[in-house]
Amino acid sequence: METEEELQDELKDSPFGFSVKRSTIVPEGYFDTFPDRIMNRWLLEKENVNPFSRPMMVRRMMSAAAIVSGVCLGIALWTNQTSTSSQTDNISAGDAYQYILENIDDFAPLILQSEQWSEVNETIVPDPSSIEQYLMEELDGEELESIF
Amino acid sequence: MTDEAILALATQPDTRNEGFRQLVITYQQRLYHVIRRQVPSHEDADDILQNTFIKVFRHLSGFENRSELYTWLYRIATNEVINHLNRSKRHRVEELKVNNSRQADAYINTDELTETLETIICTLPERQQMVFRMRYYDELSYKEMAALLSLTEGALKASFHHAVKKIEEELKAKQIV
Repeated sequence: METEEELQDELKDSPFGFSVKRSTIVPEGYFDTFPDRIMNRWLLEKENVNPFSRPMMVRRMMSAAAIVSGVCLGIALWTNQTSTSSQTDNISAGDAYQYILENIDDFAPLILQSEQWSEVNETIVPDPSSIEQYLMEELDGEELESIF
Repeated sequence: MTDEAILALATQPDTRNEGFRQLVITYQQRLYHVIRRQVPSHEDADDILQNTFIKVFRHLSGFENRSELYTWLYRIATNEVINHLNRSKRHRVEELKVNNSRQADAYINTDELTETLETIICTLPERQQMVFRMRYYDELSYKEMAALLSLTEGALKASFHHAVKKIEEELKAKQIV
């Protein structure tokens, strides 16, 4: 660094002719507390970076896991649907009817046991009063014994 | 504590914070005065000094010992000052426009003069600003400036004299000199 004399010589021709340099009076105790303040700020900045990055990483991992799970589920459903439909698609309605007729003995017990069949049975078996009513109408006033 | 000792502490994970603290203790006063001479208030200087050290902490692992530690710190501090001043440059240029239309007072106090000079400096090209600040405020020799800025002494002298000439013209226009 140059001496003050040299510097003044250098600045002799400067336009100012007066000093406009700022005084650098430092508030009392500033340099005693500054290291602590700057270290606290540094540690805070580091802490703010770390907790921020951790949830971000967890969030990203969870997103990735959700996407993978979704894709796997989709593939599984699609595969299952395809295999089911391919089994039924290969048999036409005519073939199925033909098959049932040829193997009616196998299907009969199943049909008789089914709830639908029992319902049908119940509806076609009339009660005795209905039979009597029906016969009276058919005989048109004739005696019942005359038929037999 | 020597630079070598500070760097040895600061580059080891276990002792990094202690190294940073020693770095601050060693260089805070020198850097503060470099900054304070160039900015109008202690608060500005405090902000810039903090930002300087935070930047130093972040990039200390990249310090390659090609220059002295203080030279590197000085360069970072100066860049921070320039960034700070550029941010407030628009405001100062507006001030200058307003002041140009005003007749110079019979008496102008040092604070006003300092502010006026700062406003004029902010209108200079960046390199002239830096050279003028380093030479006038920090009182660095051309040799030191050449080492810091990687420029020749001749180029620095030319920049300084151009800066002085422009400042002189502005001061004359304001009827201050």
